[in-house]
Amino acid sequence: MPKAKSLKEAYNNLVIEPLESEEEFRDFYVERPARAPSPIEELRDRIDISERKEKYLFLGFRGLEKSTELNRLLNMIDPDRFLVVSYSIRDQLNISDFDFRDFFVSMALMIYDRAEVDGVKLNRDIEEDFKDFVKRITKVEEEEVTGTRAAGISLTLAKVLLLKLGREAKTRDIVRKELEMQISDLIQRLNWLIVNVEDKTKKKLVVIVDDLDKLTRVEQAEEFFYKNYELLTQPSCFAVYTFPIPLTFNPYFENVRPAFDDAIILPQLPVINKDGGRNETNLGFYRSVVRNRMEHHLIDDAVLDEAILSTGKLSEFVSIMRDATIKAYRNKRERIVKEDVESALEKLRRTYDRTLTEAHKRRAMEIHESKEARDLDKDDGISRELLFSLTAVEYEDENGRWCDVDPLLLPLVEKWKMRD
Amino acid sequence: MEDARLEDAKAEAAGIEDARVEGPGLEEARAEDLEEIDTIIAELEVSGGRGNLILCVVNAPAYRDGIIRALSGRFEAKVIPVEEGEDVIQSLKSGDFGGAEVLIWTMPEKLTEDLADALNNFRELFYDAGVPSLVFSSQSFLDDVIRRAPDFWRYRGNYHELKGLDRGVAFEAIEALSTSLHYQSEADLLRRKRINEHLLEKVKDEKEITKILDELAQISYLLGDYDKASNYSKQELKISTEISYKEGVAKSLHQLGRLAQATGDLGEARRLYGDSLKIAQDLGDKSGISRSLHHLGILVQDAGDIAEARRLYGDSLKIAQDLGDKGGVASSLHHLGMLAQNTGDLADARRLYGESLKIKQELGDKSGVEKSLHQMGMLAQKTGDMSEARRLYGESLKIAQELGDKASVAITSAQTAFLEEHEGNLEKALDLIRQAETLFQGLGSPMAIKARMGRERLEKKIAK
Repeated sequence: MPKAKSLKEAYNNLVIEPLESEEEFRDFYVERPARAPSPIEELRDRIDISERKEKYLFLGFRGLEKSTELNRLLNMIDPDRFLVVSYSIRDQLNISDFDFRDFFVSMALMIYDRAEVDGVKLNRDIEEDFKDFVKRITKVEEEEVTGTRAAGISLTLAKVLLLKLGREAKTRDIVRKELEMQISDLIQRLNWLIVNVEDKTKKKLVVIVDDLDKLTRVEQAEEFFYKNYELLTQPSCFAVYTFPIPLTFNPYFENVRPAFDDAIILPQLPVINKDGGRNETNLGFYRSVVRNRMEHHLIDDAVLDEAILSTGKLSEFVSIMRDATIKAYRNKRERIVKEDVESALEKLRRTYDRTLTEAHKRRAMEIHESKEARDLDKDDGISRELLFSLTAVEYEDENGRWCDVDPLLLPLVEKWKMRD
Repeated sequence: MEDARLEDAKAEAAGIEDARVEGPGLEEARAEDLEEIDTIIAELEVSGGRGNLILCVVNAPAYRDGIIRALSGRFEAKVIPVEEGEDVIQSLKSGDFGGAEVLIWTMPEKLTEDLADALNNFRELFYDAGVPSLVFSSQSFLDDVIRRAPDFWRYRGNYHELKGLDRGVAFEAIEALSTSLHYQSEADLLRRKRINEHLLEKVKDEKEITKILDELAQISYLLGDYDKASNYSKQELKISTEISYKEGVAKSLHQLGRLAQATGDLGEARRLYGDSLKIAQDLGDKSGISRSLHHLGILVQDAGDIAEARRLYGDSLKIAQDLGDKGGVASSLHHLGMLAQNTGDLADARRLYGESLKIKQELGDKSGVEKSLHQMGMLAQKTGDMSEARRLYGESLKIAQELGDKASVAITSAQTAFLEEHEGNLEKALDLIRQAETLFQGLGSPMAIKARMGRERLEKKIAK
């Protein structure tokens, strides 16, 4: 993936998707600053040496490239000793209609599918029992699976069931009803499968579940993590679950956290310190993200810094840069100029301004003043909503934990203050 | 004079002997019930032409009807079914009994407020009627009368409790709460057994091993292999004790309690359940507490302490409801239904069985469904609906056979045998009771003795 020499190439190099291939990591990945390193290496080591099948929560605000870090983990784990099943619930399930029962069915199916694809010869009884069980709870007949083959599509049982689970509300309803009182039966089957896969492959199983932090509503996320967290600890394998960081602002988080072996945090890197000064180290990190992707002549440092200081979140920053790049390209410029960046920033600001309620705006102003984002009481969810939508951001540095509004919104905060 | 009195006494005794009741429906009555019925007959004869109020508890309507038929053969009887208080007041006030020598009242299953008031406030009318009244009710109705119509209760001339036909009661299926195993067939259960045996060789974690042993013990229990079940539970107990896994200790003690209960060692069962309960209480393990309370309830119910059984089931039900443990709720409802059935509150029993069955069906708990159907069959049999009872037993037996649940197959076969015997199908009954006896013997169940007695009785009948 060579550095972009033109705006057209730069546009294509500014991918928002997580880095995945070896080539992408080699060319684009930027090591985090030494003061706020990625916790992935430590996580890899823990998995490597732990005798117990540990369960981890992986926390970080959206847009911090958690998925990229999880992909790194996937590549770092020793394939001779571990079998990694890594997937995103967005790919397998319907994230806007999501339930813990769908989740555990999908986890079992992903493990079974991996075993099938890898040609792992499972214990016949365990395999037959598993197939009978999932067919029973999904009410899917063998003919539906063979039917896909007859239609020229070669899908495994697990793939057919995952497709139905993700796409058919009816199948989800059936599964939820069937499992309403039998979730422990499913967990037992899941664990039988895990023991058998580990025994046959002579490898320890690691399941990495990404995008659980992207559950679309706070209530949905709380329902999943707070009401059912004990189930998440029951699979008898290593498991890494992404976790929505705004949920940590709910006092209940302290009840849940001890159930897991660790809550691993990917820190947000502030570009403006708590005292208002620039954080040059972190600025350097963000600059490298762009500099690794395009030649220096395509953007000046000052313009680049303007984009960084106005966003301060990795995915938002890359997104703004991408938008600015296309604007420059369409204006037949040779490089990205301040006007392109400002135009992209203003477009995003207008969107925020339109979607925030008066209550949200008042709270955003308070957060900016106090550098704290707390709800007034348990019925007040405004701060959590701001954190959930990334309108407010939490940082952790030598000053401890503190919050502020998204730097993008700072001009808006000033405008709201003037108006009031 | 003395000789004359002696002769009179002998003649009276002979007369009483002659009075021994016979009639359709009472062929299988318990000996002690026949004694009671004789006493009732004597009382009715003695009080001829005068008012009297004799209360008689019979839980099974079919049995009650048999007694009424027998009494109607001896007395001109007017049978008055009561639904509400006005039925009692109007009948007694009318004074038109059509020349009946005896008024026989059959009370409904529930004592309504209106009926309680009528009985309490118009109790004198029973004595004013000029003919004796024999009032049939269920045990639960009478319990309510004692509480809610105490004046009527104090006004009774006498009071009799009949136990019912000497058959069937001992063969009621007893449900286990502690198993969370849901399985579809015997083949499914056997597959689970093989899986657990396979895992037992592979798994190294001792806590996980105790869980596997626990499931193997439950499977062996369900398959009727009590020796194996016992071995697995003892291994589980040993390992759990060694690694100080108290939950495993409590579970294994409980499972050993079930085995002791199944083989008739009720004292040992009580001790083991008690020990398991204590550990569960120490651990704050509500699910374990509920499980132990439930099984202690079964023990005290078998021992006849209905009030204590009701308390224990109630406590167990409450915990299960709090925990959202629907299987536990279904089990408690089932056993509360059995209590209601035993005390003659058949409407309540029907309701409770229905609720329990619904939950079990939702859970896909075929084993539980099979036991509910069995109990509902008993209910139908008690109310004299033999075709419905046969249908329900048939469904229950079919599921029990599919599940390979030998204990339930034996119990339902025995119960069906008695039904067939009652219907005069003696050869079929004998065939069924023989199958049941063989199964009970194989299980080491104390019910084998009852089955043997039933078989011998049938063989004698057929020989005649």
